[in-house]
Amino acid sequence: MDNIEKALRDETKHVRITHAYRWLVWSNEQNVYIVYEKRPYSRNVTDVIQTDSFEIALYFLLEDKA
Amino acid sequence: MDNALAVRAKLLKWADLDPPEDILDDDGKVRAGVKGAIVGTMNRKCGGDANRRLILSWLFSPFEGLEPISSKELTNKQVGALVRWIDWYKDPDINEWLTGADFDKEILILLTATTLVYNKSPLVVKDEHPAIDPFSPLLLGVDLGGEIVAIDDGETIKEEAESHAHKRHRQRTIDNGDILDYF
Repeated sequence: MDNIEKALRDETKHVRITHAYRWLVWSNEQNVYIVYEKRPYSRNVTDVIQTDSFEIALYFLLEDKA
Repeated sequence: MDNALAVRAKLLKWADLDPPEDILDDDGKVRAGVKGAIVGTMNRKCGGDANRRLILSWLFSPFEGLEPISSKELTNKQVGALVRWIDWYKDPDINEWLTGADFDKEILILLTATTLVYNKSPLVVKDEHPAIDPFSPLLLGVDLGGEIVAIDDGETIKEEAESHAHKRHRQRTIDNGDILDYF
């Protein structure tokens, strides 16, 4: 898990973990994990959660059953 | 293959609908740049022009078999269906246009299906395994411990087969009674 967090926080790369219609990124500007969601055929991207806890972010990422 | 057919059914259903208004200009024609964006996106995902034309053929060809379709031949409604399918959105984080998650998966499904249908001839990997009949005397010789030192007019392939049989028998009787000596 540490390696995943490390990869997400690597400023030289833009890593995102995708699951169903959601993805998880680390925001260097806000110092939080953000889970985004983009449902099919809607042009809007929404924030599902912003948190400094990786575990909570992961929970919300994997919650999408689509 | 079922999944690829389901994608085709989905796209054909959309191709019956009117195209999204924002891809049309005042004259009702597809705006300049839309087809280019479709071509660029599809090529990036499926590997190039030839594959894209096969996929377009899979989606929209009325005939059996894959006759490649060029993007120039697409109707407005078909372009509309492709725009719906690709489902572009702007990533707020990196500020780039990306494609929908369904499209990313489905175009790979179509790529697999179309290449399977289109490439009917069997694949031969010449460098590693020359096209040898698995029951040929040559292969039997290799099985028994022989070494192929030249094949295809002198193109050397070093391939050795270790075999206990080689140590026990230097000659082998083939079914028809001929005795072949490969060593």
